[in-house]
Amino acid sequence: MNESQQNNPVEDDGQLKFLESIMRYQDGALSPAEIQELAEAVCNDPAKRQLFQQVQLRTAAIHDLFRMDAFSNSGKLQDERRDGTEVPPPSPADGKPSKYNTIQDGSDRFVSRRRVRISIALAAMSLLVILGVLFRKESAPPQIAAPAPLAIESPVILTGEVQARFFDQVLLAAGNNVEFSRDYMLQSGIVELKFPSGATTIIEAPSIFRVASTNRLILNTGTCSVHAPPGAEGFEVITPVTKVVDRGTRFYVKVQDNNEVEVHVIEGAADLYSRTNSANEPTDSDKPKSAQGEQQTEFVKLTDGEAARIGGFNDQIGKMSGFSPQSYRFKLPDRLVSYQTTSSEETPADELLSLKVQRNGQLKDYSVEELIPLEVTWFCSDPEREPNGYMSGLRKAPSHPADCLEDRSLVTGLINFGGQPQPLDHFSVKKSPAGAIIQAPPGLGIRFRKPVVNHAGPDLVLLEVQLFTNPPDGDPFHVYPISDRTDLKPLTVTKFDLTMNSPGLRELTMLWSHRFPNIVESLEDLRTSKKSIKVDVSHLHFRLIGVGIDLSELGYAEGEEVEELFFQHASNGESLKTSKVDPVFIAGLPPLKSDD
Amino acid sequence: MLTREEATAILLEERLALTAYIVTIVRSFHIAEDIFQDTCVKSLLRDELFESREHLLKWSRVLCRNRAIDVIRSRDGKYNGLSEEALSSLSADWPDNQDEGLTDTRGALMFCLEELTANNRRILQLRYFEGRSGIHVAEILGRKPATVYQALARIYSLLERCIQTRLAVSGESEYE
Repeated sequence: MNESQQNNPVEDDGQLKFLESIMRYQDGALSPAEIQELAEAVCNDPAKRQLFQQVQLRTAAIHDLFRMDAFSNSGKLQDERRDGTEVPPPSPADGKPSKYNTIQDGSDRFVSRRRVRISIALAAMSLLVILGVLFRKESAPPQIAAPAPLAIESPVILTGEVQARFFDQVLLAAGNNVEFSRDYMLQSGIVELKFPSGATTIIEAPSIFRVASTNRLILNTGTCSVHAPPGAEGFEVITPVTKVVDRGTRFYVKVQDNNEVEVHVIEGAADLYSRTNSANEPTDSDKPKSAQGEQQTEFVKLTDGEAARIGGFNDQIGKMSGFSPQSYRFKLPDRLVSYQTTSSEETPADELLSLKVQRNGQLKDYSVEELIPLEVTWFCSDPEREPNGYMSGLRKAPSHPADCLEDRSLVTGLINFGGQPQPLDHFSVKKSPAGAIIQAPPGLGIRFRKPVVNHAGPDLVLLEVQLFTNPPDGDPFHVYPISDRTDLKPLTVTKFDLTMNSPGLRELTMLWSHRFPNIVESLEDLRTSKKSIKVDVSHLHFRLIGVGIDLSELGYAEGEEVEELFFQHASNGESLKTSKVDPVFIAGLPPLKSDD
Repeated sequence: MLTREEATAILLEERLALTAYIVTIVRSFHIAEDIFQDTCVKSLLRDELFESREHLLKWSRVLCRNRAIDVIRSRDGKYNGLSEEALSSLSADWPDNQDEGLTDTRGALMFCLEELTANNRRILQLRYFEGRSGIHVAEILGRKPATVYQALARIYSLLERCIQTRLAVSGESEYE
């Protein structure tokens, strides 16, 4: 294009006028009436809508090309310095902070400013590339290489977590202090934070949150249940569009995918402020509001049973919406919380010492002596031979194979018993007059040495050994009641409480797999087979994961006693490479006391 | 269903188209890029997988739109842009990289930018790279603001005609 070409009339006046109004819209120079006119044109005239879209795409591309040109230093598109003129900085009226104030050498002003912008742009692009790479290597993602701010430990404590997994592989265990001003990206699971004031927050994935101060949580996305007991009033949850100030209450905040925010007050009251000016941007400080220049004149007071929605095209102050208390989480779910073994950090786990379990909302510690042991009543493999064996343990085979599961050892177990992906429609066992199982499907039968009483939360626990190449959430399995009652049902466990991503897992370093040349249809087969091969699998870094099982989920009523159960794997049996459940320890929990 | 890896790749591929959509609301490339990044992170943290490319892009545009409006409200106290109806109308058939062949167009645009006169290129640079307002560009160039907006409209028109010519020529040469 030469100058004469560029001076040619190119379009009709109407189109040029419309283009001009787009240019003025991009600049914020249209009056409200003119914006309305533009909006109507966009809505009603497909040609103009298409032109608008195209202009927006082209201007974004122009911006991009100039940026790339500046970065590559080709200078093809940079003309401002060729003619020797100096371009003044943007005026304060632009509403953007000037970076010129800190640059002393006038000759470097523009270049420095450009570099800053290019650096920001490159950092942004790098982040995206890193995000892409992270998901290509999801099994072992690297640390995000973003510049880490100086970590400052806060007095806010992570008091509990359930299958919590963070995007950037942060490992936070119960009892850890949370860092100030760090964006935690909770990819899955739940975490509970306790603030020094006594306020607790339960945050559920997917969420991005940050502890801004000892009394302030920033929730960029996700859901959070807050409880501020007396003394913790004033606790704040900041979202991209709101600030919720607790007035001694329980409330629930949800920052939705579409960026709208819902606040539901379950008990008490909360003040909902719209964050409508930059002075209200979340700050990582505990300074009084006045010191931060906040001007919060408009707010909505929500009381129990009320809810509001804000953000997007909703009213700026908050639009009252349907109250939904079901989403509020009063506590972390009951579960197996952790286990203790006889070994130290440096030596292999050997025997179980104790378990920590949350039952009926309360944390309980049980020594292994308090647990209800079991006896194995049935073992039968799938009809196909299992290449990974049916027993784990030491090199020497036990004289009584059932011991592998009846003892306290965490390396001995009865593994890879039979099953199928879906639970059986009609599960039944045939027993001898003495009560012994004489016919049953492939699987594992157990009988507790004394009945396990069904209470709120887990009533028994199962620990299994797991490889890092196996499902990180644990191998799925079915649990059946051994009963003719029609009100009972099987339970399929698909996610363990302690998964391969949980903190505090122990590694089992002395582990042998006993592999058999034939299928095993009974405990007697296991005992009498002399042709098993013992393979040392210690180098595979097996870890111990576990799950608590609530008998209520099998249909048992509160207080009912259970003596027997039956297990089957729930893995897809089509491939020999499927990972079947490998229990090394199962035990019942003692009954809860009346004051529990 | 899209895997997360596929969703990430699509979002990166559609960066320019999505950023252009966000700029329609926030009228700042830097803010638009921040919002685009937020959207990427949210899409990666999303529990459910996206059913298709269309599903992902539709979801992303809704998220970007709401986030952009919130950002503007936080910054300016109120949102003074296109109406919800107009934004929905634009969003419904917002072009994406596949529709528009943005990659091909980019080469043509680069060529055409170089073909502009130094003066026209400078106007674009001041306005779109340095983010100066039309009034400020007018001050720098010693012109009236209205003249700058008219110039921008004309430059756009010239560029578009050049791009179409360039694409047509390269299209013909491909079949020679």
